[in-house]
Amino acid sequence: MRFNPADLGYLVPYLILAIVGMLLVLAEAFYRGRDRTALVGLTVAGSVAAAVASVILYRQVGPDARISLMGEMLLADRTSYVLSALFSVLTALTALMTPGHQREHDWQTGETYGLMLLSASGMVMLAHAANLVTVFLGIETMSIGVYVMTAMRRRSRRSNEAAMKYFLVGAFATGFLMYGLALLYGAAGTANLVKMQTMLAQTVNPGLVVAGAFLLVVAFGFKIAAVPFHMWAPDAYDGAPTPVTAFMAAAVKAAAIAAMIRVFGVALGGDIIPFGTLGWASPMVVIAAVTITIGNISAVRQENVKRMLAYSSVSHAGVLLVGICALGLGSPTANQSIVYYLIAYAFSTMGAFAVVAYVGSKGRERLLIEDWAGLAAQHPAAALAMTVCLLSFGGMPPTGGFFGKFYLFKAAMEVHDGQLLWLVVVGVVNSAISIYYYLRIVTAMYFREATQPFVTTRSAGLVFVMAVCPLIVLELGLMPGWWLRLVG
Amino acid sequence: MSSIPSLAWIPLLPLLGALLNLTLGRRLSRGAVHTIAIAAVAAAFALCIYLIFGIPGLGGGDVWRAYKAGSGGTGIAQTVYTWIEVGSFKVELAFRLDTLSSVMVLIVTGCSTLIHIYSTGYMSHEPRYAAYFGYLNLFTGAMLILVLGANLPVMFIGWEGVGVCSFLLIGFWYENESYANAGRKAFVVNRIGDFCFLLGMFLLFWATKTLDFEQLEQTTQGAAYVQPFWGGERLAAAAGIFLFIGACGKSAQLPLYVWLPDAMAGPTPVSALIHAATMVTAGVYMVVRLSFLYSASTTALIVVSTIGMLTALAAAFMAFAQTDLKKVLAYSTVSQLGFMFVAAGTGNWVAAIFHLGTHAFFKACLFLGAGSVMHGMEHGIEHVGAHGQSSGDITKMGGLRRHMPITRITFMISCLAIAGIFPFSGFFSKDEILAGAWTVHPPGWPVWYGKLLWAGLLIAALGTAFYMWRLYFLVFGGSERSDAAKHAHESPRSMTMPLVILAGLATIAGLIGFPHLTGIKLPSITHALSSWLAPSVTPTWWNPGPDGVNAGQAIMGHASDGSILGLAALALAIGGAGIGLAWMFYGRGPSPTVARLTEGPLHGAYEASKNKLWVDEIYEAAFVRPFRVVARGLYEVVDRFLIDTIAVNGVAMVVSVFGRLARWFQNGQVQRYIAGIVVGAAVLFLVTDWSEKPTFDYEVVGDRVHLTAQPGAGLMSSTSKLRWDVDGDGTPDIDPKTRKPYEGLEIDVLRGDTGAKVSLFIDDPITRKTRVVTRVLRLPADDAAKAQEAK
Amino acid sequence: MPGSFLLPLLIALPLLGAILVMCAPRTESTLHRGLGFVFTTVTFLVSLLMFRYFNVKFDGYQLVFDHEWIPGLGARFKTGVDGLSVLLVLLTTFLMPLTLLGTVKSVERHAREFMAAMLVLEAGMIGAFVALDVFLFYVFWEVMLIPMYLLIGIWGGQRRLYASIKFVVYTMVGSLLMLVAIFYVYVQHANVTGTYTTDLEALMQVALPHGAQYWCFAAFALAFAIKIPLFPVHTWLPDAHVEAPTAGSVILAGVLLKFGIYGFLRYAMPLFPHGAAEWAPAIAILAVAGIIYGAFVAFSQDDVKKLVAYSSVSHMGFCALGIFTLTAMGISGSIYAMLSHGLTTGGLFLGIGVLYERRHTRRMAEYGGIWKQMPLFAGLYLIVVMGSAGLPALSGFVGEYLTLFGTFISGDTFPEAFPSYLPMPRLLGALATTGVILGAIYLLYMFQKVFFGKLDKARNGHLRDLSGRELATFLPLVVLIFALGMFPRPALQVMEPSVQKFIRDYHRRVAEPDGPAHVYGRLPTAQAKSIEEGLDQLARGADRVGSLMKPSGTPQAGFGGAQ
Repeated sequence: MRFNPADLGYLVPYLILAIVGMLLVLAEAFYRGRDRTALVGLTVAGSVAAAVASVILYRQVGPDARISLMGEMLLADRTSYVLSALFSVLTALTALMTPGHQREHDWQTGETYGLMLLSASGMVMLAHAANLVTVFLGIETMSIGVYVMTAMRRRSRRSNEAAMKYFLVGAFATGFLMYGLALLYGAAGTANLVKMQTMLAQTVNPGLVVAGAFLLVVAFGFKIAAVPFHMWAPDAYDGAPTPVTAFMAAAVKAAAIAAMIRVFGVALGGDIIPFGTLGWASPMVVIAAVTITIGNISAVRQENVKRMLAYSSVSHAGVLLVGICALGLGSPTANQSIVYYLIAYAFSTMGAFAVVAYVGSKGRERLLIEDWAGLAAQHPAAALAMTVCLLSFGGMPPTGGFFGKFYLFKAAMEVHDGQLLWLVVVGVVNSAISIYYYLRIVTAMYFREATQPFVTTRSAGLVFVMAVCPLIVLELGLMPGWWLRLVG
Repeated sequence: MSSIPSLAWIPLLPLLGALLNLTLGRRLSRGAVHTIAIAAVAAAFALCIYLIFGIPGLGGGDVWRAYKAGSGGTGIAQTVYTWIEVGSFKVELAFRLDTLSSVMVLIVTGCSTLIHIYSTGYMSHEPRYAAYFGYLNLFTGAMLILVLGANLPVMFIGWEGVGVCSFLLIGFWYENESYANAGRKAFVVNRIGDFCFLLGMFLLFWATKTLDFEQLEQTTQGAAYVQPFWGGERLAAAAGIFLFIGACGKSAQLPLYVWLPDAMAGPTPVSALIHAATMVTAGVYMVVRLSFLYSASTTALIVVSTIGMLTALAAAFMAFAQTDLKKVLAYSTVSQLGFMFVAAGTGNWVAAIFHLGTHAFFKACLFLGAGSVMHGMEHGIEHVGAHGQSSGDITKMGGLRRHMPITRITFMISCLAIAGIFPFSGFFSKDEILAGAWTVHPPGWPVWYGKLLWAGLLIAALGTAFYMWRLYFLVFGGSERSDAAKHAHESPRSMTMPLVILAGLATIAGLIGFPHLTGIKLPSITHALSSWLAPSVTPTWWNPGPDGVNAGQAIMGHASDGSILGLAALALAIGGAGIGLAWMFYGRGPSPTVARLTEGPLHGAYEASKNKLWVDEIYEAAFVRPFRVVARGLYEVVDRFLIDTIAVNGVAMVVSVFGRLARWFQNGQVQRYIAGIVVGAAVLFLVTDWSEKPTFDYEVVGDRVHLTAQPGAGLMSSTSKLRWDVDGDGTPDIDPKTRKPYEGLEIDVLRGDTGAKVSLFIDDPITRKTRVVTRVLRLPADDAAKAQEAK
Repeated sequence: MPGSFLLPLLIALPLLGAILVMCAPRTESTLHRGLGFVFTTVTFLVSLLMFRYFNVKFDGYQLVFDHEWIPGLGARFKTGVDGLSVLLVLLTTFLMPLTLLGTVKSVERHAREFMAAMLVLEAGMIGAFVALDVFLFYVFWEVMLIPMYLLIGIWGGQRRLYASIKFVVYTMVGSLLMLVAIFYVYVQHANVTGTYTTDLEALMQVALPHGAQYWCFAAFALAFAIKIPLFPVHTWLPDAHVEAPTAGSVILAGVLLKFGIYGFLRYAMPLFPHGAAEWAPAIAILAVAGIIYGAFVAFSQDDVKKLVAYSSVSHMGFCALGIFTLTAMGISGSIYAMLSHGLTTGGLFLGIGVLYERRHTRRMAEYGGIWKQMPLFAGLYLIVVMGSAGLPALSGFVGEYLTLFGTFISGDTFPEAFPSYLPMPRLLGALATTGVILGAIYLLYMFQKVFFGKLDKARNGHLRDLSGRELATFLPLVVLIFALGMFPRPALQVMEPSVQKFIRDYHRRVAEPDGPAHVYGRLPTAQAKSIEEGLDQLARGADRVGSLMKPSGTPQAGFGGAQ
């Protein structure tokens, strides 16, 4: 295992994010004064640079090439660059959302930006991970940053409480992750994901594999907030400052899924785990079904928009798990369908939370659905943006969410013997339920009269995010072909 | 426009008149309005004359020529265009003017013209003058379509069209709630009939694949009529009965007659035209038009004639105690229609049409006379200011003979005619019917049945004579019973002129239908009608042989001159008796004996007649109110409660309840979250671990059996060792070829090596237990053979 | 293909209109209305152009426009019309301008958004009618939902929130299960032919196992039955109608309901003939139940709109019954009944709108004697009512008459495979025919309540008769109602070839023996089957591992395989 400096070239996005992130942390330490625009600029610049770098490298790397780096600790291929580009863009968007929100709800903490970039770097590492160790590193780097960001709003007790919970439960789950990885390593005798598959196939000790796989299911279940490991999510999402919530819901979840694609798709891929009829997917399908359903049902009764979106993101995690199952059961298009769904979901989430941040302002955060009554009359653009994102969540054409669901369920249907048919039915029926509570917001915005004028957060960055995300979501739905080629 | 065939113009002219009056009418002067309307109808009448008999100097007379040429059954047949066409199903908008329909068109256009003229006087004060004439024209047009239609669907257009017009005209004074209700009642009851009419049509088409009268009559399709339907009964019976129920609706027969008495709400000329002369006879016409169908099923004929007789009796009975001028006439109409149906039901087609014609004249005359009387009474009422007094209440009349002589004379003539007094038309037509009932004997009927019908009709005839003359005496006889009556005066010429004409017709119309006497030789004109109609109606019972050829015997049994004359004399005597009775009781106003009888012995009967046997009440209780209740109930119970509350909102409720549950569980305690993770993980593990019972599948591939173990989910089975016992001896076996034990998830075994039972041994290294799954293989015997031939 | 540009144009025009309307300044409500009316009218005129290219003799798809859309999925932007759909497209484009013209005044708030919604709705409806690609159809099918939801929710009545949500969720439940069935067909087609496509014609080449057909048809049927709406899943309709603004009701009843029937004809029955055969009795019976039930319930209403809404349930029952008779008469009749229902019910709702604008109530008890005040309106409305009641020589008659005929004779035209395709066709037909009576009962009841009787309500005393604008909306309807009643043949001739083809194809397909999914007429033998399975097991193993390990080959990118 020899270090090859050329490999660094393939990791430019990662390096940019990491370095700029550290710079920002330092800057904050020595920076005096309250104006943080410089920091924001730097953050955006860094993440955009990372995104651009990933695009360039995407073009460098051939469609089917898989370059292994750092002595097989990392690898680079097109999908990993698509994902790292996605993460970088999401980071940039979050950074753009933040200052306005900080000003209104005064939590002017510059560390936020640095942490943001650092955890983004963790995500990018996950996008490149080819080894259990790097997977673990990536996840932890990512998580720690987010734990702290959740607590950033120091004056808000709910923020601190949320951070506390998030951290405790997260630490607990990390234990599961660690054990799981360890057991797998013990069973396979290698930590390399690709080799692991072959090794596990002829393991002498399938019991270890099963236990390890199962622990990993639990650990990742926590990271993507799947039922029954989801209960931290509503509190954390609700308590964390809205931009951070967006970051958690969109980027963190996406990164966790990316890691799962790796671990379950590659290491545990194939028919190598004699666990039930579906291998490790046997518990996974149950989790998926339960997650989709409970997530939706809990969302129905929520009066708080952020909590509702939190639960909806839980159910979306369930849908993504369906994709993971399909991947494990050898559906040819599962991989790209998951990535596509991630993109659509991430941008919808960003957009939705951007509107949430926009609608609230100092003094009145307007998180209850009643508070949204009559928004359309006073801020039609914002209402429209929210509607598009919500429809995308609900899987209505012509939005990316619809096509994402369509494509992902289609992938699930391709599993041999339609083993996942019932899961698809569950998912589909649930999106009918979900329409109901998404429309509750739309109904409030369009069909009710406002009680008092809206005082919104004035922030160019926020407006920019609000404008861009819905457009991307629509574009994803109208012209999915291009994106499919991108992720395929 | 010349491209439109001549026949089409007959209905088209009135329709155009209607279009004109209904669209522009409100802008036209009254004069213009009724000129247009009358012109349209008169033109249609003239056209009919032209086409049937021809007009000297102008030619025409195709029907006459066809009749002479022996093809009167076809007459003129013209197709305007193809109305509906789908695949093999084709409905032409075709008209046919044969000898039968020519009689009808003459009656329709003739009466219609007269009544249009009459209306100019009667409705002179009506604000919605144009609308009235528009509707009247529309009706005439629809009626002509009905009569001329060459197939059932076209006939149905007219059939429904006249229904709508009668709805509009009955409810013409819609501001009066009860009038509007009467209109709706008429339409709905008619619709009930039309429903059965449709069913009959569908059945006929289903059986014969055509609806054109000509083709329906083709003997080659006769087989269809006699094909069994409804437990062996002929399809002809089913279709015939359904169509007849339709006729019951239109022609006010039991049990659907109830709308006609209420229909008197409409303007009196309308009652004369629609509810006496033309529309209500459509049913009779339809039955005669389909004589070939009815003659194919004696069952249907029994139904028709029986219903006819019962209606004749019941209506006559109900007419006894009515005190409203028009109501009496209405019931008499129902009763007379009953006569016609008995004729039709005894295969006595000619008599049916004959009576239809004579009835059209004298009943129209009676109604118009009634209109004239009421017109006069209204003046009287106006004059004495006795407001609120009904102009049609006969108890308030009397002695009008002095005030309106012309009306009186014409009314009397018509009363003589309807009572069947020689030599007025009613005598001949009614006599024909009675004689027919006496002599007829369709195959399969009990011999006495015809006699029974005859007896029934005889009683009805007696009743008719009685109540009609009761009416006459109460209106014209005796002395005035109210001041209004004293000041009544004769109507304008526009009204009396039609009365005179109709009365004249009512007098002489009988001459074309003398009975056939072998002894005495009468001029051919006296049998004009029967010989004229002969080509258009079926002369024989449909009695198909094996090849469906119509080989039946003639319908009209012939009676000896003696019996014919005897029957005639009897009928005449009955009529006279009825008049005599009426004179006895009402000759000079209602005599005290009437009161005595109605209070005393006949009280029950009197009440029954007065209240029309409570039929309306019964229907109200039996159908109308239950209908409302059911409708309401369905809405409240099924729609609102079962579907919406339980099913739809119920689901939503369940969801939201679970939602609350989840919220309650989500109480913000980290301990609980972590507990949730642990418990959840454990449960999940166990669930997936023990969920599936171990088993295995087998499948035959060629000469080998492919066994696949399904050790079930979970850690245990995942680590287990799998061994197979293929020959069923209960111990794990060794593959004879490879000399290795059968092991693993999937194995292949030669069919030869497999026993009846196969077992799978699952030894669990952790628990040191062994589970055994045993299945009996069912291998398809021929599979090996298949495998061979496939090779 | 000549004229292929036409259908995409028809979809694009309203969308363009919607965009322009949204660009127009917020306050210029007259401008918005003008734009909306102009664009719908232009769309109608353009749609008339279809007959320049439409060959009435030809039985296949015409004016086909086919363009790649989502290569990754095999979805194509493929549109075309045949005898089944062309008239429905015309109905849509015809009703749209009339509706806007008739309801111009009734919308004061947000006229701009209203027009935009209507135009988008029109685009969606046209698209759904002309789509020949399952995926495209589904997209349009869902796209229709949102504008209608907004129409009900923003411009609706008191309980509009409940009604709008109910409408959407009700419809979604059905359509999403249909989506699953679409997946299934799509994937099965890919397994059999190896190519992924959602092109309808391609999918129709594959015969599915009978068991699968049973469930897939059920999924489609649920979606379409809710749309029709078939008893007992009709309860969204009355609420939607009552709360929707007049324009919404007109379009909902006039066009949207048609998609249920159309969906059966275009998708459910051709794709799953065997499933259709198995479900036919159930659906036919429900249809008849709906005919009677709808009529009864309609009679018990005091709200005019509700009454008409339930009458739709009754009338659409005829259409549903017609298509499952599988006779030319039944199917042509069903389509014809849809056209007529679109005109008559549209007219009925427009009329209610006329009254509502003047009196702001829909309770019949509030009216009475209106004829005296509005004779012109009353006369026209009577014609519409009679047309709806199925009076011969008016449009309503032909359709119902043909469907009933179809039902009666369907006994003789069953597919060979199904001697008992419909249970007791004569009995069903007879029961359905009672709709003739019931229709007369509730419609005349309504007409009498509103127009007859004394003019005793003070507020009805000064009702204006139809304005020129309103007259302009009613006359075309009435004229067409007459024309369709007197001269149905041209329209029937347009349908004829496609209907015949539909029946031929159906009988051919339904005769296909059961077996694993395969191309029609190529049922694999037992031997072939086992080989196939062997191969496909290998393949499975290959791509399961391969998608993740093999350095190249499989199209999709997985992870792994260091070089």
